[in-house]
Amino acid sequence: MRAAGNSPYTAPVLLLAMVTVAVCTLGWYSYRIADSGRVAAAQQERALEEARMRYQRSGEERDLLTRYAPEYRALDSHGFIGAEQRVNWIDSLRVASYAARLSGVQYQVGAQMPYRLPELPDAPLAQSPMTIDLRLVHEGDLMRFLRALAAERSGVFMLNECSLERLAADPVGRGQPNLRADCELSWVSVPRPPAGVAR
Amino acid sequence: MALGERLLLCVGAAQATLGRWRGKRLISCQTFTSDEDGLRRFMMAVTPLRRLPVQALVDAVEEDYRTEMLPHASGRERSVMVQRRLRQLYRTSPYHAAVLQGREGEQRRDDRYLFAALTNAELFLPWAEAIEEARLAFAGLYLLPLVMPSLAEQLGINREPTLLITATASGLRQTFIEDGQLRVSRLTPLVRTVNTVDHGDIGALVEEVGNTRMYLEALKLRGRDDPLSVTLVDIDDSMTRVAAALERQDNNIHCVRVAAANLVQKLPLSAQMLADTPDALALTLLGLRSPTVNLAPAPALRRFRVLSTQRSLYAATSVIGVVGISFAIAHVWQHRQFTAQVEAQRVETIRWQERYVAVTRQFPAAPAPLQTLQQTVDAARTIAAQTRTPERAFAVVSAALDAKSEIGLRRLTWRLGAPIADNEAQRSGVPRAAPGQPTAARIESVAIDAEILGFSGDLRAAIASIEGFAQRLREDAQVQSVTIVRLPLNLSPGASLSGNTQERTEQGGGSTFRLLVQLRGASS
Repeated sequence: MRAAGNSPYTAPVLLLAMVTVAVCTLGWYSYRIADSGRVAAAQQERALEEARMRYQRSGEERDLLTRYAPEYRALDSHGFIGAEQRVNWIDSLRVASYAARLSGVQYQVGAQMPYRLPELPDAPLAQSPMTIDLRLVHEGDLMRFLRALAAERSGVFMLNECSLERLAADPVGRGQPNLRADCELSWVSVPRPPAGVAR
Repeated sequence: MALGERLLLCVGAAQATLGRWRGKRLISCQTFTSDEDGLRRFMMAVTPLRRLPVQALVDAVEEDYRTEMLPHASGRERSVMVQRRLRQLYRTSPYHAAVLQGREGEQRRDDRYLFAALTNAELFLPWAEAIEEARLAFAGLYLLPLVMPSLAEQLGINREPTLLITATASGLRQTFIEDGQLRVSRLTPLVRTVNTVDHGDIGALVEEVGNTRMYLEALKLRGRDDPLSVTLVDIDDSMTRVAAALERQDNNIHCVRVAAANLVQKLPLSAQMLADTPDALALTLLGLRSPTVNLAPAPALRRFRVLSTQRSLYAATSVIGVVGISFAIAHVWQHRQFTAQVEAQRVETIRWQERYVAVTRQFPAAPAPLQTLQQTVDAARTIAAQTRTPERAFAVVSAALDAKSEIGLRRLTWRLGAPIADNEAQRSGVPRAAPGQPTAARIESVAIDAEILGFSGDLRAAIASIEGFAQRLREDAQVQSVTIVRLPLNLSPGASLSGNTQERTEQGGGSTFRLLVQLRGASS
């Protein structure tokens, strides 16, 4: 029996195998090169289309900017944008309490947490829950207090719940609180965007 | 070594002619005598060409052709039957073969076979041994008449039965061809001068044709009165008078002479080579088309099979290599196209971006990216639209209380969001940990904890007052629903009831109740 190494087919078969492997490698490598070119071309085409569309929509962008920028600045000045303004809120509680002629406000502020509006699920909102405890002479004092607090514009808040409770059944002195109100509200804010990415 | 290049050998009794076939034509011819010197020279000539395959023709008297009918068979059965018949016919020679030429049109429709053999193997054996010794790849052995149908086809005379007469190095070859197939062939050694037939003896040649005609009649291939078409291949234009002499016999013979110039026109053959050796004609015909009847025994073809397989492998390698490289070149070319496209688009993109930047320079200063601006303002607007105070709820409850002076309010809870549940406990005024997330529908609801002022113990009257109070609330256009959650007396048949009719009523004990009111949605 002929030894495998002396077979007349050894050389051509080896050559065939080597050429096949080399061709497969070359084919695979060249395919990868062509494919990377194809991907790069597709990406560049998208970038070009995006740049073209962005330019074509620049007028629309200008309109939106004109429409939204003043309101955004106003919201910024009212404390809606950026870190929570606890000092301003407490100060506003004090001022509103004075304006509503209340004897004082007991408050408690919880830790800030994410706040999701169902209408704007992607908006990165945060809320700081606050509870306040008031002593009122008349239930109208509560509305005066809330209006005064909103007028302070130290942030945007949403009132979630309020309870009024009669303090005592016995007659009280004139000008003395006879109602207790405790309310729960959320100070809502959005984080300030990083500087330098205005457009 | 060019593709298809090979050696062609024509072996006769006295000499052998070696031709080299390349590029679809014979490029050289060399003659060797059939003796030791000739064989030694042959060895010297072929040893450097051992990578070329060699095909051989034998032009000898010791040949045999016979057409026989065998029962129709196929596959292995046919092969066994034919081999058995070959052994019976040609016991002494290893050089034999058979080819199926068709089927009979009548009765059993038997298969018609042409059996052919070189009956004197000694004639070719020295050359076969030399080929083996030179380690040449022996590709096949054929009898010279087997290439004659190809000549008839080239000359356009294969449609009708014809006797083809050619002069070879071994003598005068007469081949009878019918339906384009070899029927019978005869070789007559004639006295030669150099390479041409001794045409001085025209009479002998005419006589040989007459003998062949009688042989055909004996084999019943032609009838006595059938006309015979003779084609005289005159390789050196020396048989003009032979053709005339044949026709003069008035033996119903029609003779056509094919001159050397005609042959050169119709075959890839030079006149000089044809003049040098008559075997050049047969070698050219062999080079153009190898006959199907290969007399070589299978063991002699071993080296050729190896060579063929090697060539196939190399051919496959070449094809794979060429296809692969073409594939790669196509991809590289494609990549270059893409790269050029990317570069062009990149420049175009930069141009559009520059235009955009130029336009946006005219824009008012933006405090934030446009998307952030839009999102922030929309969020603030949504929150503002959803913000409520208890003012409306207080007004609704106050109006109902004004109409029912016997009802005294103890506690009122207003909520914006998920409605207050029936079984929700009264709040104690302690702040809750954290409010829940806003729900899709933010509903204003009110829980009223009240009592009957001046309750005297008349539960029926108290319940009537409470229901009147609830009804008064229901009549308010801003109220969606009113539910009496708790009455001074539990009227549920599923609950146990106990009490004391002497219980004091000054503090309203026993007359408290709870209502849940849900307001309709209000526009902001």
